[in-house]
Amino acid sequence: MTKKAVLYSSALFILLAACFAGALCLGSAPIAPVDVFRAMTNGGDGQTIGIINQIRLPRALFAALVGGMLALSGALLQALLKNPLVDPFITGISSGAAFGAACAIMAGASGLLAPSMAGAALAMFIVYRISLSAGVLNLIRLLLAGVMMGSFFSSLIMLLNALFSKDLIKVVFWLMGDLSNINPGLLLYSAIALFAAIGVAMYFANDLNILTTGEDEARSMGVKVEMIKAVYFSIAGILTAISVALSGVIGFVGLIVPHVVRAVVGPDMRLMIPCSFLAGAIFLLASDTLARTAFLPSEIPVGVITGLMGVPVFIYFMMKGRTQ
Amino acid sequence: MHFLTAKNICYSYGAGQFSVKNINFSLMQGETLAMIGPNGAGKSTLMRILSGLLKGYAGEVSILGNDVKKMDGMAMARLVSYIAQSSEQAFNFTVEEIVAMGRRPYITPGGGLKPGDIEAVKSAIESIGIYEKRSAKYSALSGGEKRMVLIARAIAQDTPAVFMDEPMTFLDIQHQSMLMEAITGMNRSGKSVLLISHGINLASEYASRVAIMKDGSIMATGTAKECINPENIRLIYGFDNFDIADNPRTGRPNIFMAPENKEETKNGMAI
Repeated sequence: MTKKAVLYSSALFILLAACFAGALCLGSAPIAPVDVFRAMTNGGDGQTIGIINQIRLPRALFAALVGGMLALSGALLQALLKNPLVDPFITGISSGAAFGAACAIMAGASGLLAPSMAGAALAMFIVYRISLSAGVLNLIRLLLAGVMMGSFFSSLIMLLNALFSKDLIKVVFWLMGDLSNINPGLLLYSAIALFAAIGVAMYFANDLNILTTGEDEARSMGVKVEMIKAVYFSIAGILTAISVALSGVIGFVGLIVPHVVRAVVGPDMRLMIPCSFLAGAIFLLASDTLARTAFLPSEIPVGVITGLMGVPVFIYFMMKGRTQ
Repeated sequence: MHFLTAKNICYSYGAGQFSVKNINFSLMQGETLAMIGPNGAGKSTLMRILSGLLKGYAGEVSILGNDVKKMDGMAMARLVSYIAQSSEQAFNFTVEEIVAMGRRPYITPGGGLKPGDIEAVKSAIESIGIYEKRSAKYSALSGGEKRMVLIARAIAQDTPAVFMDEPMTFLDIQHQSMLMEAITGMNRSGKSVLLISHGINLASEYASRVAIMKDGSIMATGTAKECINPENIRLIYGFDNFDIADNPRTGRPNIFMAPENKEETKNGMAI
């Protein structure tokens, strides 16, 4: 396991570094790698320093962070719900966040982070409460409650749009996912939350492995099943809520990345957690670089690229799995 | 010496109907006890209660003198390993990974396997004769091999008792025999085995004692000879079309289907 972990993590780190280099060099004004390096060490001309340090570097970090969060959240939920087709948005948390953001947009508020976090927290609480029965978190009920709450909040957003349609386009754009509204001040806090989540998730990863083989079996092996379910639902929910609040609803990352990673490294969560995080960061960073540069001078929503890139990859892995 | 004692166990899933009622029962150290009975008799519910997996029952279950209600999950995991009825896995772990999960009671959540754990996993896989398949994916195994992997996981868990809920389901006769030999092996090594079985003949041949359940209660316990008789079988299954005869090699009672109208058809089938 350790050898495999080192091998896969090293490969993904190298790929992530390459994607970072690409993200910093490419844009409406391509910058040579040597100038990028000089700018990062505060050398070279002021304009390049500004582009790299003020625009591209924060955005690249932001994309990697959100991608890592979504993929990690998806990997945890897929294991928790024993379903490889689950994505973080199935829990209804993203729709709750979107509802919070839609309310703020309709009310003319400028900051979307707090309202979308509040919406996500509300959805998470409702789904958790509905799924809890006599102290036991019912995972099938959680899945159903998530889908229901997702539909409910989506209907509320449509109702808001119908009643106050003046800012509809803003809500639609936000729902498509957008990495252009960077708040560098939040990067540090989000990174702390992410690495704390990875630490906790790794600590209980073996228990999550055992839980995927069945609740009774896990209990009979000494796993504190209800605690593990609550821990992983909370981690996945918080990561989803933060990523949606930061960047809107970027689809496919949380579904496809863990699926592909599992096909390569196997289902062991001790490998899946770091590899999903790294692969998610790579995938969204590459997608965002493409979204910024493929149709210059226009920039397209990153969600469009994740869908266009992700679905063929997903189909390839599904077909490969079938032939095996 | 008693390994497990159950006194006046009652449990209801709700709606006032008892799934198990007034169960008084014991499992001796080193014996194999087979629970037989029709579907819905409460066998799986009782096994989950005895394994400490189902709480909220009335009565008392004690293992080696300790009240199961007061024991924490980890202490219980070092005493009883449990193999559920269904063996399907959501994700495709390897044989080695699944067997290694059995070592969970001996490691901390964040800790890995120590050399002693790795040795226990290896010897558990070897003991059931699938060492060459240790790196195979679980989904690539036959139904019988999957069951054997779960037995190996229970062996790796290294508990004095193993509880199995219908381990023979979907197994062909060869794998049934292999599995029963594995159970006998565990028994020889001093483990107590409690198993639920719909295979009355297998229960008769391999178990030290048999318990018959019907409508949530234990109707009879004793040796196969004492329990597997026409009266009991008629009473619990509610049909007459069978014969019981002793196996000439072991002397234990076996049940045979005996259709009522035995007119021979052209192809020799009874109708």
